[in-house]
Amino acid sequence: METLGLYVHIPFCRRKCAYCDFVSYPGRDAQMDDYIDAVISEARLYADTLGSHSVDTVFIGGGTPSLLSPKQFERMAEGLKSCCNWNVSEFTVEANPETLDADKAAAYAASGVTRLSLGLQTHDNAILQRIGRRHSWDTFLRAYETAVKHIPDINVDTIFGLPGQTLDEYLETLRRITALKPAHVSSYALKLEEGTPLAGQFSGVDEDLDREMYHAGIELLESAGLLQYETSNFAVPGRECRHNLKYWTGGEYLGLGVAAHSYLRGDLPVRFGNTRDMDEYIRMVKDGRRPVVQQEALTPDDERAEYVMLRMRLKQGIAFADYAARFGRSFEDDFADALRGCEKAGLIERTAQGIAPATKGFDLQNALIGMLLERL
Amino acid sequence: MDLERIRNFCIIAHIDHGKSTLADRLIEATHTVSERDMHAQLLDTMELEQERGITIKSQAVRMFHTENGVEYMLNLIDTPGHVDFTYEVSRSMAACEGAILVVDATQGIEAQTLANVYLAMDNGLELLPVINKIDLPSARIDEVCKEIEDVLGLDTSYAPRISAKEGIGIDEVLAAVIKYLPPPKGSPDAPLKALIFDSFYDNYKGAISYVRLMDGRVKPGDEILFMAAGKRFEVTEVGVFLPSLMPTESLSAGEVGYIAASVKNVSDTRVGDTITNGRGGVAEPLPGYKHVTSMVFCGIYPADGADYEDLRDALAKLALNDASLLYEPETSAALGFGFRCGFLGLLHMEIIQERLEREFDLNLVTTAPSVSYHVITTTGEMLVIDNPTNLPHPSTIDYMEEPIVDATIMTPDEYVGAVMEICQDKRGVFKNMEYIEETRVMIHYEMPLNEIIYDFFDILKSRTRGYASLDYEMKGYKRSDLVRLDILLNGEMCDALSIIVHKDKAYARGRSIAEKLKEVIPRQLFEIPIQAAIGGKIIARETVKALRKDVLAKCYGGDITRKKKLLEKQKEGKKRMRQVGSVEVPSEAFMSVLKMD
Repeated sequence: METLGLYVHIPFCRRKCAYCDFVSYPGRDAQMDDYIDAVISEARLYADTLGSHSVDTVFIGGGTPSLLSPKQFERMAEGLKSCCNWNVSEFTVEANPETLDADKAAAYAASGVTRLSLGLQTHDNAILQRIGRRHSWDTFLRAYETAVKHIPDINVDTIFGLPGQTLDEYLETLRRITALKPAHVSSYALKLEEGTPLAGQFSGVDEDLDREMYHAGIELLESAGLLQYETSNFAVPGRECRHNLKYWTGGEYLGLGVAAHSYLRGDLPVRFGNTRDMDEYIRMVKDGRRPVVQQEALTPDDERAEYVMLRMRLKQGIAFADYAARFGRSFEDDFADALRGCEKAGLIERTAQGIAPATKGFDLQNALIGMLLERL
Repeated sequence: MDLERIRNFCIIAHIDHGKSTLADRLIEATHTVSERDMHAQLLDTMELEQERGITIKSQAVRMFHTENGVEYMLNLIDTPGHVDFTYEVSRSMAACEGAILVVDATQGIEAQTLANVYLAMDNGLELLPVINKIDLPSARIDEVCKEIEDVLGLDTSYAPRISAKEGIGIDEVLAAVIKYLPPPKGSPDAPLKALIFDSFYDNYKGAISYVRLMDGRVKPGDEILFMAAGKRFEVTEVGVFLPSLMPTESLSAGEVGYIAASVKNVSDTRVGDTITNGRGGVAEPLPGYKHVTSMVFCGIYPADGADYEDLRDALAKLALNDASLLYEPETSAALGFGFRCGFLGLLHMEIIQERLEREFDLNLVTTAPSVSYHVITTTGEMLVIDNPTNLPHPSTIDYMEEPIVDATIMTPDEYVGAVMEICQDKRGVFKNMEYIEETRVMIHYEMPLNEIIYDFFDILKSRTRGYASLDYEMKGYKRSDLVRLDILLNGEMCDALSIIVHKDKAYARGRSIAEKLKEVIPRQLFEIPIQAAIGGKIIARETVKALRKDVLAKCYGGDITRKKKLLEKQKEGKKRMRQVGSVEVPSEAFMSVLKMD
């Protein structure tokens, strides 16, 4: 039986963070129960897919999933378990430090959660306030201590390139995190998304500083035993997020909830996405309709382009043998000219199995993918 | 029709003085077009003409008007008003006996008014001044009349005072046309003698000649001879302009109309040629026109090399109806295969580029405009160079000459200082200045054409807040100290960016081009030096810093649609880039070298 990742989007939050452009709706907590019902009903609409697959990873993202009460969470988890072949070995929930308490952590553990992702962003309280976060460093510490008591794997999310943040401050954030010895750290470059409040007030840090932070951050994390395995993700070897790896390695996943995205490989590989409107989502599911508003069937060329685009986010890059097994063609023949160009520009490195992005390839990922895909 | 009852005339005016509006009113007043079909700027049929409010191509229309119980046939030929199209105007004039001169009562005489009046006088046309826009509060009717009398020497006592926009005085204009403009001469019984003043290619009827019959008659079935082309055809259709083509039984002396004769090649219906009878025709053709000369040249290339054939076909189609558009294939190391094109002026160039992009859906890369230089080599040979790339090595050049024009500028006198400063800066040589009324002056300068095509007109307009008007005509060639300015990108010369400039201007231009290129060339994987050089000597340098970070949207939660869209956009953007050596240069960079500072 093929394995399947399950993603559930929880679009509730207390307040939008200044940089956030994910789908989430502050002040609509009253709809939580209806929403959970809808998510479970939506899962039932995919009985065929769920019946033919074995669910091995689950990721509850948001929004702020930790806003759900222990009871609500348990109900949702039970509902999902009841309609699929549940062989879950990695079950992640995202949480904001100020919303996590011992009851919730215990409820997560009781539902089988194995991994908790805590959004710290920075240890600097002044910056936290400026970007609209509601916790402080101390709040985070308390949440972390609570979490480790119940959940085996912890991820800490951080952001660099924040307004007012210096290189030293960013590295201090990483030092404090690594001292806690989490299994996993994500460190994202701040991306100013159009329409967010932060994009209106701040034009981003200087590009040189941004890269200095990125490179120094990688060095610090790796020397602490957290090895880079993707553009922005670091883990103790063996504790990488297997659900997220599915996104980058062509694994199948079903997304439930508003704005959730799915990738399934049936007779024809297909990507589809749900409506971003919560009321419409609930209505469609109630009517027994899948809440899909966009769908794209992928041609073999699309598949190859996506393969390159997504694999080149990974530190291990592309193994020629894997490409050949997947597409029945030679990577080196397909991309001969582009490979020479990328190598000359210092964007890729040769590995024993194939190619991988060089540091410059992570910095200029856009250019790297652009060059590789130019002829495709 | 009795010749006494025919009037052939055109309307001349400076841009925006109301020429096309008056034409609309005349068409309405004579009920030539049904109300349903009437719309503003009726004779400007091109989308571009409608949009820009200008006339590019001549159009003709036949109207009937009854004055004192007698019905008259009025043939109006609408003409362009811009300096670039003087050639087109003079062609139309040869088909007329008179011209309405429209002068804006708020603006007075402008440079182009004067040029058109001289042209009309050269063609022996009777002029009827019409004072337009009298309804505007800022109208200075008496002053403008005095200006016309003093500067142009025309009697304004009988000039209709009108508002074309409001429809005031239109009947007076019709009456004055009949009263003051002369009827045509000629004999319907003499051998056929018809002047081709325009031609047009119709997919069904072949090349159609727009003609003015001086003598004789023509009807379907007649055999005719195109005298310069030396070719004979059988007439398939004759007719008049309403302004759409309307077949008639025949055309006769004094009338304006068209002749179709299944002519396959537009080149056989050469504008200015004379049509006569196939047998027993006239021996001597009409004088015809001066041959058109291109003033401005530029390279036009498809943005996507694969569109070369489409560009070639498009140019061929435009040239069918625009004898003044010249083009020949050329190749550039930077831009690949394209065409060197010759134009009447900058506006003409702009219009052709825009029509190619719009009407033929082409993406173009155009190089900076150039003029035509004379290069006298050390062996005494004279070369004509309109592409800087073709300039021979300086050691083989004895000296060079550049085209000079006589420029006429009219401006309120408060801007005289500014105008003179600009002209001086553009290497102009002052000729004279005269007051055309108390506060308006006319200044004459001798100017190098290559300065005019750079940014002269833009600067003139901006420093005089739009009040100055400019007209120029070719004067001749003058020896000049010229050099070729080359641009190097990452150490490699980019031929499409070379220009020929006066030595004294080279440093400033080199600096400004390097600065501009720095703005338009996106940062790339490596640092790009941009250098301006004269004969291998670097005179300016800018640097496009290497790109340090280029990371796309997040890719989390499994939503990769946005990332894919960005990549597609990037791919599209790349199509508009040109590879110059190792550097990617956006298409617009090649024109940016001529933009004003």
